[in-house]
Amino acid sequence: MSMVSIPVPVDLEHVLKPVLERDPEKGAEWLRAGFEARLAELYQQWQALRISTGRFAELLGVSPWELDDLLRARGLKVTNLPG
Amino acid sequence: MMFVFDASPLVASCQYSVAGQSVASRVLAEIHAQIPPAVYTEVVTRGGTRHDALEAARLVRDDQLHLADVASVAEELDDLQYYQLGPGEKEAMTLMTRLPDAVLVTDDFLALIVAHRLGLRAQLFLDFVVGCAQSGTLSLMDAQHIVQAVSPRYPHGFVPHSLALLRRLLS
Repeated sequence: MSMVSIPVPVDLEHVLKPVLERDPEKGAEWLRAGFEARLAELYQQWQALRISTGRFAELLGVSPWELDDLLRARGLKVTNLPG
Repeated sequence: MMFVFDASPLVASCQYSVAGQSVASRVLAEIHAQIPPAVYTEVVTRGGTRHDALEAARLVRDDQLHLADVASVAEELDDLQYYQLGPGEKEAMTLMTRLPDAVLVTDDFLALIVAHRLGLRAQLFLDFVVGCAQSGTLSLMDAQHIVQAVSPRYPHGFVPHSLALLRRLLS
Protein backbone atom coordinates (compact mmCIF):
# COMPACT_ATOMS: atom_id res chain seq x y z
CA MET A 1 0.00 0.00 0.00
CA SER A 2 1.37 3.44 -0.92
CA MET A 3 1.40 6.40 1.46
CA VAL A 4 -0.31 9.67 0.61
CA SER A 5 -0.57 12.86 2.58
CA ILE A 6 -3.83 14.82 2.51
CA PRO A 7 -5.05 17.82 4.52
CA VAL A 8 -7.88 16.93 6.91
CA PRO A 9 -10.38 19.39 8.44
CA VAL A 10 -9.73 19.98 12.17
CA ASP A 11 -13.09 18.56 13.31
CA LEU A 12 -12.45 15.36 11.39
CA GLU A 13 -8.87 15.15 12.61
CA HIS A 14 -10.07 14.85 16.23
CA VAL A 15 -12.06 11.76 15.31
CA LEU A 16 -9.66 10.30 12.76
CA LYS A 17 -6.37 10.61 14.62
CA PRO A 18 -7.08 8.28 17.58
CA VAL A 19 -8.64 5.69 15.27
CA LEU A 20 -5.60 5.74 12.95
CA GLU A 21 -3.24 5.43 15.91
CA ARG A 22 -5.05 2.31 17.07
CA ASP A 23 -5.61 0.82 13.59
CA PRO A 24 -3.81 2.38 10.55
CA GLU A 25 -5.70 0.10 8.12
CA LYS A 26 -8.89 1.88 9.10
CA GLY A 27 -7.73 5.04 7.33
CA ALA A 28 -7.65 3.30 3.96
CA GLU A 29 -11.02 1.71 4.68
CA TRP A 30 -12.57 5.09 5.57
CA LEU A 31 -11.04 6.74 2.52
CA ARG A 32 -12.38 4.03 0.24
CA ALA A 33 -15.84 4.20 1.82
CA GLY A 34 -15.91 7.98 1.46
CA PHE A 35 -14.88 7.80 -2.18
CA GLU A 36 -17.41 5.10 -3.01
CA ALA A 37 -20.19 7.08 -1.32
CA ARG A 38 -19.26 10.20 -3.29
CA LEU A 39 -19.10 8.22 -6.53
CA ALA A 40 -22.52 6.69 -5.88
CA GLU A 41 -24.04 10.08 -5.02
CA LEU A 42 -22.66 11.73 -8.17
CA TYR A 43 -23.59 8.73 -10.33
CA GLN A 44 -27.23 9.13 -9.30
CA GLN A 45 -27.12 12.87 -10.09
CA TRP A 46 -25.54 12.09 -13.47
CA GLN A 47 -28.13 9.47 -14.38
CA ALA A 48 -30.88 11.93 -13.40
CA LEU A 49 -29.29 14.55 -15.73
CA ARG A 50 -28.67 16.97 -12.87
CA ILE A 51 -24.97 16.99 -13.85
CA SER A 52 -23.20 16.26 -17.13
CA THR A 53 -20.39 13.79 -17.73
CA GLY A 54 -17.77 16.55 -17.63
CA ARG A 55 -19.16 17.92 -14.36
CA PHE A 56 -19.27 14.40 -12.90
CA ALA A 57 -15.55 13.96 -13.60
CA GLU A 58 -14.77 17.46 -12.33
CA LEU A 59 -16.64 16.98 -9.04
CA LEU A 60 -15.01 13.60 -8.50
CA GLY A 61 -11.60 15.09 -9.30
CA VAL A 62 -10.74 12.63 -12.06
CA SER A 63 -10.15 12.80 -15.81
CA PRO A 64 -12.89 11.61 -18.22
CA TRP A 65 -10.76 8.50 -18.89
CA GLU A 66 -10.49 7.69 -15.19
CA LEU A 67 -14.22 8.22 -14.74
CA ASP A 68 -14.85 5.75 -17.53
CA ASP A 69 -12.50 3.22 -15.89
CA LEU A 70 -14.14 3.68 -12.47
CA LEU A 71 -17.64 3.13 -13.85
CA ARG A 72 -16.63 0.16 -15.95
CA ALA A 73 -14.80 -1.50 -13.04
CA ARG A 74 -18.02 -1.32 -11.01
CA GLY A 75 -20.22 -2.62 -13.82
CA LEU A 76 -22.06 0.70 -14.05
CA LYS A 77 -23.28 2.45 -17.21
CA VAL A 78 -20.58 4.58 -18.85
CA THR A 79 -23.15 6.93 -20.36
CA ASN A 80 -26.14 8.96 -19.21
CA LEU A 81 -28.05 8.18 -22.40
CA PRO A 82 -31.41 6.55 -21.62
CA GLY A 83 -31.92 2.81 -21.94
CA MET B 1 -18.72 20.95 -42.50
CA MET B 2 -16.98 21.67 -39.22
CA PHE B 3 -17.42 19.69 -36.01
CA VAL B 4 -16.76 20.58 -32.38
CA PHE B 5 -16.03 17.69 -30.03
CA ASP B 6 -16.37 17.66 -26.27
CA ALA B 7 -14.51 15.02 -24.25
CA SER B 8 -17.17 12.30 -24.50
CA PRO B 9 -16.77 11.34 -28.19
CA LEU B 10 -12.99 11.39 -27.78
CA VAL B 11 -13.22 8.98 -24.85
CA ALA B 12 -15.41 6.75 -27.01
CA SER B 13 -13.27 6.94 -30.12
CA CYS B 14 -9.72 6.84 -28.74
CA GLN B 15 -10.35 3.70 -26.69
CA TYR B 16 -11.41 1.49 -29.56
CA SER B 17 -9.67 0.44 -32.74
CA VAL B 18 -10.65 -0.82 -36.17
CA ALA B 19 -8.02 -2.65 -38.24
CA GLY B 20 -5.21 -1.51 -35.98
CA GLN B 21 -6.12 2.16 -36.09
CA SER B 22 -8.01 4.09 -33.42
CA VAL B 23 -11.63 4.90 -34.26
CA ALA B 24 -10.83 8.58 -33.66
CA SER B 25 -8.03 8.52 -36.19
CA ARG B 26 -10.29 6.91 -38.81
CA VAL B 27 -13.22 9.30 -38.37
CA LEU B 28 -11.09 12.44 -38.17
CA ALA B 29 -9.03 11.71 -41.28
CA GLU B 30 -11.34 13.46 -43.72
CA ILE B 31 -13.20 16.02 -41.64
CA HIS B 32 -12.40 19.23 -39.78
CA ALA B 33 -12.95 18.88 -36.03
CA GLN B 34 -12.06 21.33 -33.28
CA ILE B 35 -11.79 21.07 -29.54
CA PRO B 36 -11.72 24.02 -27.13
CA PRO B 37 -8.82 24.40 -24.66
CA ALA B 38 -10.80 22.97 -21.72
CA VAL B 39 -11.43 19.72 -23.62
CA TYR B 40 -7.70 19.54 -24.36
CA THR B 41 -7.01 19.93 -20.64
CA GLU B 42 -9.54 17.24 -19.68
CA VAL B 43 -8.50 14.72 -22.30
CA VAL B 44 -4.81 15.30 -23.02
CA THR B 45 -3.30 17.14 -20.04
CA ARG B 46 -5.23 15.21 -17.37
CA GLY B 47 -5.01 12.01 -19.36
CA GLY B 48 -1.26 11.82 -18.81
CA THR B 49 0.52 8.87 -20.35
CA ARG B 50 -2.32 6.41 -20.72
CA HIS B 51 -2.51 5.07 -24.27
CA ASP B 52 -5.92 6.52 -25.16
CA ALA B 53 -4.96 9.98 -23.92
CA LEU B 54 -1.69 9.75 -25.86
CA GLU B 55 -3.70 8.90 -28.95
CA ALA B 56 -5.80 12.06 -28.43
CA ALA B 57 -2.57 14.06 -28.01
CA ARG B 58 -1.20 12.57 -31.23
CA LEU B 59 -4.34 13.57 -33.16
CA VAL B 60 -3.85 17.18 -32.04
CA ARG B 61 -0.12 17.10 -32.81
CA ASP B 62 -0.78 15.66 -36.28
CA ASP B 63 -3.45 18.28 -37.03
CA GLN B 64 -6.21 15.70 -37.30
CA LEU B 65 -7.93 17.41 -34.38
CA HIS B 66 -7.64 21.17 -34.16
CA LEU B 67 -7.24 23.07 -30.93
CA ALA B 68 -9.38 26.21 -30.90
CA ASP B 69 -7.92 29.53 -29.89
CA VAL B 70 -8.41 30.59 -26.26
CA ALA B 71 -9.93 33.88 -27.47
CA SER B 72 -12.78 31.99 -29.15
CA VAL B 73 -14.06 30.79 -25.77
CA ALA B 74 -13.09 33.81 -23.69
CA GLU B 75 -16.61 34.84 -22.77
CA GLU B 76 -18.70 31.94 -21.56
CA LEU B 77 -22.34 31.93 -22.63
CA ASP B 78 -24.59 33.38 -19.92
CA ASP B 79 -27.22 30.70 -20.41
CA LEU B 80 -24.80 27.97 -19.35
CA GLN B 81 -24.90 29.15 -15.72
CA TYR B 82 -28.25 27.36 -15.30
CA TYR B 83 -26.76 23.93 -15.89
CA GLN B 84 -24.21 21.72 -14.17
CA LEU B 85 -21.92 21.19 -17.14
CA GLY B 86 -18.18 20.54 -17.06
CA PRO B 87 -15.61 23.08 -18.31
CA GLY B 88 -15.08 21.23 -21.61
CA GLU B 89 -18.79 21.05 -22.42
CA LYS B 90 -19.25 24.74 -21.59
CA GLU B 91 -16.36 25.81 -23.77
CA ALA B 92 -17.48 23.51 -26.60
CA MET B 93 -20.91 25.20 -26.61
CA THR B 94 -19.36 28.66 -26.36
CA LEU B 95 -17.10 27.82 -29.30
CA MET B 96 -20.13 26.60 -31.26
CA THR B 97 -21.68 30.07 -31.14
CA ARG B 98 -18.58 31.40 -32.98
CA LEU B 99 -18.86 28.74 -35.69
CA PRO B 100 -22.32 29.12 -37.22
CA ASP B 101 -22.10 26.06 -39.50
CA ALA B 102 -20.52 23.71 -36.97
CA VAL B 103 -22.08 20.64 -35.36
CA LEU B 104 -21.38 19.70 -31.75
CA VAL B 105 -20.56 16.04 -31.22
CA THR B 106 -21.31 14.86 -27.69
CA ASP B 107 -22.39 11.64 -26.02
CA ASP B 108 -23.62 13.47 -22.95
CA PHE B 109 -27.40 13.56 -22.78
CA LEU B 110 -27.59 16.73 -20.68
CA ALA B 111 -25.19 18.56 -23.03
CA LEU B 112 -27.28 17.41 -25.98
CA ILE B 113 -30.44 18.85 -24.41
CA VAL B 114 -28.76 22.13 -23.45
CA ALA B 115 -27.29 22.49 -26.95
CA HIS B 116 -30.74 21.93 -28.41
CA ARG B 117 -32.21 24.59 -26.10
CA LEU B 118 -29.50 27.04 -27.19
CA GLY B 119 -30.36 26.42 -30.85
CA LEU B 120 -27.03 24.70 -31.53
CA ARG B 121 -26.73 21.75 -33.90
CA ALA B 122 -25.65 18.73 -31.90
CA GLN B 123 -25.47 15.00 -32.43
CA LEU B 124 -24.31 11.79 -30.76
CA PHE B 125 -21.04 10.22 -31.87
CA LEU B 126 -23.00 7.37 -33.50
CA ASP B 127 -24.97 9.86 -35.61
CA PHE B 128 -21.74 11.61 -36.51
CA VAL B 129 -20.42 8.28 -37.85
CA VAL B 130 -23.64 7.68 -39.81
CA GLY B 131 -23.36 11.23 -41.18
CA CYS B 132 -19.77 10.58 -42.29
CA ALA B 133 -20.95 7.51 -44.20
CA GLN B 134 -23.76 9.55 -45.71
CA SER B 135 -21.40 12.27 -46.91
CA GLY B 136 -18.85 9.75 -48.17
CA THR B 137 -16.05 10.78 -45.80
CA LEU B 138 -16.22 7.22 -44.42
CA SER B 139 -16.95 4.08 -46.39
CA LEU B 140 -20.08 2.23 -45.38
CA MET B 141 -18.03 -0.76 -44.28
CA ASP B 142 -15.74 1.41 -42.18
CA ALA B 143 -18.73 3.09 -40.55
CA GLN B 144 -20.27 -0.30 -39.73
CA HIS B 145 -17.02 -1.52 -38.19
CA ILE B 146 -16.70 1.67 -36.15
CA VAL B 147 -20.27 1.44 -34.82
CA GLN B 148 -19.63 -2.17 -33.83
CA ALA B 149 -16.30 -1.30 -32.21
CA VAL B 150 -17.77 1.38 -29.93
CA SER B 151 -20.96 -0.60 -29.22
CA PRO B 152 -20.05 -1.54 -25.59
CA ARG B 153 -20.51 2.12 -24.61
CA TYR B 154 -24.10 2.54 -25.71
CA PRO B 155 -27.40 1.47 -24.16
CA HIS B 156 -29.69 -1.04 -25.82
CA GLY B 157 -31.17 0.17 -29.09
CA PHE B 158 -28.64 2.80 -30.14
CA VAL B 159 -26.23 0.48 -31.95
CA PRO B 160 -28.79 -1.68 -33.84
CA HIS B 161 -30.55 1.53 -34.90
CA SER B 162 -27.28 3.03 -36.17
CA LEU B 163 -26.52 -0.15 -38.12
CA ALA B 164 -30.04 -0.03 -39.62
CA LEU B 165 -29.48 3.61 -40.65
CA LEU B 166 -26.23 2.58 -42.33
CA ARG B 167 -27.91 -0.33 -44.14
CA ARG B 168 -30.51 2.11 -45.48
CA LEU B 169 -27.74 4.06 -47.17
CA LEU B 170 -27.19 1.04 -49.42
CA SER B 171 -30.67 1.27 -50.93
